[in-house]
Amino acid sequence: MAQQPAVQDSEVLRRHVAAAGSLPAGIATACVELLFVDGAAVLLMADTERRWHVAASVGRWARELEEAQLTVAEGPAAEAYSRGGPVLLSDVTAQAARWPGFAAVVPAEVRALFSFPLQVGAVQFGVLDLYCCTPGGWDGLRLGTALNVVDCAAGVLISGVGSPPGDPLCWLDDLPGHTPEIDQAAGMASVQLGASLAVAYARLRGFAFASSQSLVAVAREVVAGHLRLVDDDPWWDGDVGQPPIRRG
Amino acid sequence: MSRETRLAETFVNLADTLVADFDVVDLLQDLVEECVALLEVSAAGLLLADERGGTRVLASTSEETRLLELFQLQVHQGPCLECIATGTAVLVPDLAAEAGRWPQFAAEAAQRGFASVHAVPMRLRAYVLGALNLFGTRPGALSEADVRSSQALADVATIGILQQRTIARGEVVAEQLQTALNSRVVIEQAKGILAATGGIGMDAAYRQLRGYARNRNLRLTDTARSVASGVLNPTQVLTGPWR
Repeated sequence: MAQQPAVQDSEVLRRHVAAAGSLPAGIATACVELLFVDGAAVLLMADTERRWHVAASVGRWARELEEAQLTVAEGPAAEAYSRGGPVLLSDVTAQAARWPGFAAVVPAEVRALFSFPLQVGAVQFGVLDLYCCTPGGWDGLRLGTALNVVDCAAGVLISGVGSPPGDPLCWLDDLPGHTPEIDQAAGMASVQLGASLAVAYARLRGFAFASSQSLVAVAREVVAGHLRLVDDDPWWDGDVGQPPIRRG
Repeated sequence: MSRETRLAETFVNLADTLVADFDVVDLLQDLVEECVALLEVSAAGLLLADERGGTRVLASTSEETRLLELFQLQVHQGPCLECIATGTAVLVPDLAAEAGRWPQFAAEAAQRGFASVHAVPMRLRAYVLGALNLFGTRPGALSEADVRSSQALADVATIGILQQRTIARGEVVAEQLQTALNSRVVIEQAKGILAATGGIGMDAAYRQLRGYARNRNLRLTDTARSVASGVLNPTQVLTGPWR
């Protein structure tokens, strides 16, 4: 796809992840820079316990906002996660009535709130919340930038599963979720490996990296039945229980 | 059954779907298949304009790469892109005669056996959500009635994606579009799982998935999510002729 802006965004993301030393913190600070928001927070769902935790928060009200949402167990973040699509509130005061519990606890300073699920199809990691202290909607360009950053973040979260070799940000060129063959191949590889979808994506990426091919090219081979991933990649340590956080 | 009766029946069925709790991708799949049955075209697809830039395929009459690649090619040039940019229908009865407008697209389309292409906008007031793409294997114009029917079908698709007739907030459009795009990703993942489990192709995997969901009155995306997240055993979806 023609995505020139996305390349620049991914560079900003790469820089912040390296500087912050953690992916969630890097995502949050990158969003503040790229999207001119007053704060950002990353909520991750711990896979084993199905429990939320605030993995990163940047901005004066970010932590309070997330703790409020976790306390009442409802609000835009929970809805974005369960629906699998963003929840965009250009005016929190006007729209928070959808979640009475949330309306009662959201910091008054948070006037606009944009919640994006961090996901690739059925693989869900958590939610990215972005807020502004003045109400106002986003134009298409700004929303597009946010979506690109969110896609990059989800792609990196997936590639962090099981720690495949190479730069975790190396695959920002072809993101899962944009080319049907990549998602089909992940489904096929998960069956062939007897592994989760997240692991399958990471393995496809690892194979593409190790064989100096694009992810799309590898995916097409898998879908065509010409390539079958096997369970003996030397770099694969089988450890999938780690939180998907990369150290810089 | 006459063509008019069939057309009326199609709209009655689509309208029925819209009042119930329905699955967008499933509805749009029905819709593109109806296009081929009703109109003088041999392939159809729905493309959404993505807020990220470019377009993404939400439904297609075939999973064949010859068709999908043709859709994807229009990220850079083609009638569909022009239709989305202008918000008006782009009708090309004879692609060879107008090859100068989109040389790369015209060449690729011809190579894949298509001679005509029509793109009809999916519009909400001034906002263009995407386009319905119709391909024919022979040159020929759509009749005036077919142009009207295809616009009506594209309008149904628009209503289906937005899932409500009055849009209170402009943001709802973006919310619904992005949710629909993610549904499509979940379905691709489930197709992959079914294809590898059953040793079948992607088209067959999709048919099984839709048949299973339909047979049990489940939403297609929910069923796909169950398969993709390991809650539903793929062999259960594969057994039985769900058609």
